[in-house]
Amino acid sequence: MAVRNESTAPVGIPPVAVAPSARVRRGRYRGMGGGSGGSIGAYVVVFVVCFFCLFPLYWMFENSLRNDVGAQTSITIIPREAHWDNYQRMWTALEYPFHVFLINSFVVAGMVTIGVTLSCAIVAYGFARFRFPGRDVLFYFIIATMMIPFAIMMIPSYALFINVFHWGNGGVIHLPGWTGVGTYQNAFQFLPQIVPAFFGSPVFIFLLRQFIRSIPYDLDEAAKVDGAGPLRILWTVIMPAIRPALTAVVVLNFIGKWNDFLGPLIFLQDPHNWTIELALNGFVGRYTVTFFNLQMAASLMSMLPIVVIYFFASKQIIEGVTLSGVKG
Amino acid sequence: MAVSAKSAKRSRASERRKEALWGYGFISIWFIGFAIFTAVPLAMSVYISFTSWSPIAGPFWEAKRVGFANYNTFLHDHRYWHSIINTIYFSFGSVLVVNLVSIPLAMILNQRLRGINLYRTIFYLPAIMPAVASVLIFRLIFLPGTGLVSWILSRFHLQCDVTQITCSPIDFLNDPKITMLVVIIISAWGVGQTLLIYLAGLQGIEASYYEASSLDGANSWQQFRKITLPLLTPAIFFNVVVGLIGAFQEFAKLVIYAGGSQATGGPADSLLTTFWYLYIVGFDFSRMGLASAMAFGLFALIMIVTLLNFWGQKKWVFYQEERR
Amino acid sequence: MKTKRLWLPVLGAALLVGSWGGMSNAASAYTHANAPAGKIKISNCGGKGTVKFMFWGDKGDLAAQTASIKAAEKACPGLHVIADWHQSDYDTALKTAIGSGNAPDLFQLDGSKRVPQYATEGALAPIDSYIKRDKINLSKIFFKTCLGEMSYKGKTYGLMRSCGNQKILFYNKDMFDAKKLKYPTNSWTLADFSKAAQKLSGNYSTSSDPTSTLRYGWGWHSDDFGMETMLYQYGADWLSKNLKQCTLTTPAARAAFTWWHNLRWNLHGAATPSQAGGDWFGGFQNGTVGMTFAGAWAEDYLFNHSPGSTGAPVKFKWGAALLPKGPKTRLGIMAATAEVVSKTSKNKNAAYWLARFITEGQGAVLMGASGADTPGAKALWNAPAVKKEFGSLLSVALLANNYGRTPRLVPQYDDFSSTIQSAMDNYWNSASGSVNDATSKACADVTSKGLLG
Repeated sequence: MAVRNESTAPVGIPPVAVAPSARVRRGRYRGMGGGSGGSIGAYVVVFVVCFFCLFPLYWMFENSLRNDVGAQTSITIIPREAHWDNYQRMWTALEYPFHVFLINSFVVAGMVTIGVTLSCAIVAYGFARFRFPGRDVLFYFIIATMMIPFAIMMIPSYALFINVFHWGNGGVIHLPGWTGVGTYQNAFQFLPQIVPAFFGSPVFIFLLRQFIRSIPYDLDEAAKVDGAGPLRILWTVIMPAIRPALTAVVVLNFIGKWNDFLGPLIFLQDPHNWTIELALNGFVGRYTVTFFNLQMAASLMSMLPIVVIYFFASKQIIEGVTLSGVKG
Repeated sequence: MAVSAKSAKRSRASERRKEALWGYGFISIWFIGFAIFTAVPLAMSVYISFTSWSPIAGPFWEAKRVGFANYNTFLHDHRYWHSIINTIYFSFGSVLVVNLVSIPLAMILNQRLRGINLYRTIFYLPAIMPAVASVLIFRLIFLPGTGLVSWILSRFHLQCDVTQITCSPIDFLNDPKITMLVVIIISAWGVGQTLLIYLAGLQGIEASYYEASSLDGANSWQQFRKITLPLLTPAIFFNVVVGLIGAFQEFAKLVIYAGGSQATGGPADSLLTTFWYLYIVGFDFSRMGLASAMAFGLFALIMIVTLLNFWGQKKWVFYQEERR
Repeated sequence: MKTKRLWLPVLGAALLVGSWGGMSNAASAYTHANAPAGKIKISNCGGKGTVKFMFWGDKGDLAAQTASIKAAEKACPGLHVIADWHQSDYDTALKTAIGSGNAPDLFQLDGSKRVPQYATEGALAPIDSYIKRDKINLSKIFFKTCLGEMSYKGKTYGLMRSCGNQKILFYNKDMFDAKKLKYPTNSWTLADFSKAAQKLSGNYSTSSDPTSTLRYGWGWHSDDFGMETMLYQYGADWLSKNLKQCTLTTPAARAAFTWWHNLRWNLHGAATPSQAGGDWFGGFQNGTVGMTFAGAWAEDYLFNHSPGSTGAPVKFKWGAALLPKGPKTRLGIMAATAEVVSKTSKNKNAAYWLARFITEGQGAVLMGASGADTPGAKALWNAPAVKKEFGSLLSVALLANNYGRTPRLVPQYDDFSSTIQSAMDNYWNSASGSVNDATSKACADVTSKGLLG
């Protein structure tokens, strides 16, 4: 999400005309076949769809255990032999061990998430709790900028970060040996990804503003009487109150940046800086022979953190998506 | 009395000023970022599109200004127009497929099924999977000859026997006539996103509508036509607009499906969308000026489609209630 | 593919550098134009100062490069070299470095496509004056067949690190044995090739691969190098000599393309990349495809798999021969690596000296010993380590370097070649495609886009 995909959300439409918070009596459409509890047919369809959703993931896992030519020679649903060493081979197949890419992804996605969450909370707080001339116009302006497609930003951003800021290479960071990561020769290449995130993102400003507005003003007043300044109020009153929304922002941002391919592709040219998505791409054109087993093992590793996060936060993710209409 | 009222007024005024200052201070974060990372680059983009800038030759402000030459070049470039057609094909195709799949699914999920939360979680899972990894999986599934799909087709005699040398199985990866279609079908795997929004839309429809219409003797189909569909139109509109803007700029899926090489547009350019093409022209051919000009061409297309959408919505989108 | 070819020719073997050992003794065996390679004292070292050197290669290559840089620093006291190594995405990284105002003083370019572009855009410093000063004769030191790639419009920009014919015929002996066919020879023609390709296609097993599976004679290969070589065999080209005209529509060019199309679609003698389970070379590597065309770098993949290289040793017995002769010629495409000096370098003299040191001096010996890099300086091929590394391939590779030519290049090479490939794909990918339509479209597209010289 972060900087790039904000263009994918529209203007003017209240993100999803149907917030679940709307206190209407929720109807359950009874389906074409009538009946109140859902028909057998419905269950069949649901199971088939579940199968289609999950089968590719199983297929990935199954193929990751095959031998080098397994994918090209046979159709098996259950692996005949399990080559667990594929994971070991995959780990060291690229110029740097796979955990370097995992760490890079965590760093990029983590920093972006921190930046977007903090900045959006502050900006949203400014819009939700302070009166000043031109407030609504400025707010709509922010929403309107979501219309600017990344297509026209891609090349000038490159020009800005490379020609003007000189973030194309350089920036040496030595890490202690026990990290197993080694030296970053071109750490500046991370900056074009991370720095803009600290200046907010329209969709999440919108989302958080809506939430802050739904908090009773009395809480602020009480804190104010106790002598708290605006920043204190934001930190001690507002932030705790909008924790569910913040969770959604955090998780959606993290997943979005983790999955981002284009941004890293443009700026992270040093293979030591590659995120997991670029490393995966590195598997595709690298060998003259296509090692599907290694590709699948690497794919699985790139999905694993997302699946774990999803397992713990699926409720917040689904609510966040429904509210903001944003995919990570 | 008068004095104190005046001072109270003044203090209220100063308080208001203080409040405004705090407000401006907070929101300025975004505006500073916007100025540096959006407004300035936008202006640069316009400038660059009138130059022959290549990063090899030095910074963009030293590049030669070439007037409208870049615009002239891309307007006469066959590949550009080919890529526009591909862009339209992909974005409308994928949005259509995704929405056609997700509306019925949402309606089924909206029934009182046991374990609805579990299904919803599973349905949404593919949508958050990284594009690179998921497309890699489907590349494997669609592998001609020994891939799963190819094998099933052979098994049911829908194509020649893949174990024979004279058999050229349907080449899902390389046949320019079908590659884009396959990518569109693949994008249906990520249907969870739109599905959730439809589901929320359905749940927002008040049950009383259905109860009233049942009393009037309406059958399920009539209920669907007269109640569900009209009340779902805001969600449809939202999904179409968001889906189209996103699809116009899809990159990872197409590049990975083409085999991970960004420098060609897939077999016979069959996957080359405009967004990808301007990436190639800019970053591979180093013709940043030309690519900037192309970007404005794509921008125009996105704007036209979006404005048409908004203009058209008056005719078919039905809002259940005015929201605050 | 693009990035792959960049590093393929320079895959290196660090081990062999170690085994070089008695270099000074071995070096005396060389017969250089005037002095044994490695013994050449490169004058005008200029010393003093820092040279940033950017290069590509895999981990094995990095070790050889590091050794050669250390030798350079020793030979030229006061010189300090900063190595900037990239295994992949070299092109974009180089562009970004230049764009960031942080260009390397000396860097490598793929001579088979990049020099005209970088020269036209003013990123390179011509080195003619240095060559004149040092009184060196390039065509005596380096392979003539690659020299064309080192200069553009009369000015010389690069010294040649490697030079190799990219179209040597490699074949899988086990497949030939299984079908009881005679191995290819250096005097083969395209007709012999086609006959063998058809016979090698079928469902069978070989001695090294007992599973009965579909195998093909040739791995389909229609990228820029592939198409150019098809054209050369028929005496055709994609550009006229003055680079101002697209010549794909000539009868000879169309005949060349038709021949290859026919081999794949009507005679069933070639596998598509997806049928081969990899690309044109990968299919050969995994035993699905019986013959392929590749450079001598393939040696590092096929049997002498060195640490750090991404290849995998093959299980079958293999051999190599010259490219089959077409109706007109036996010319394969030559690819060279150029060492070029940046125009913005503040230390051009030292950068140029380093370029000489690593292309023909002692550094070149160290690099040449890494094997898979097919050296551009002729004398290096006499080095025992190079001989040992290439083994039976050496004579063929050396011979093939005489049967090659450089491609005709325009500055916007990538745009040019990718436009042509996209137009031609329609023909390659369907049995019923029309060669006339495809070639006409290719020429119309590159002309209307102003890509010609």
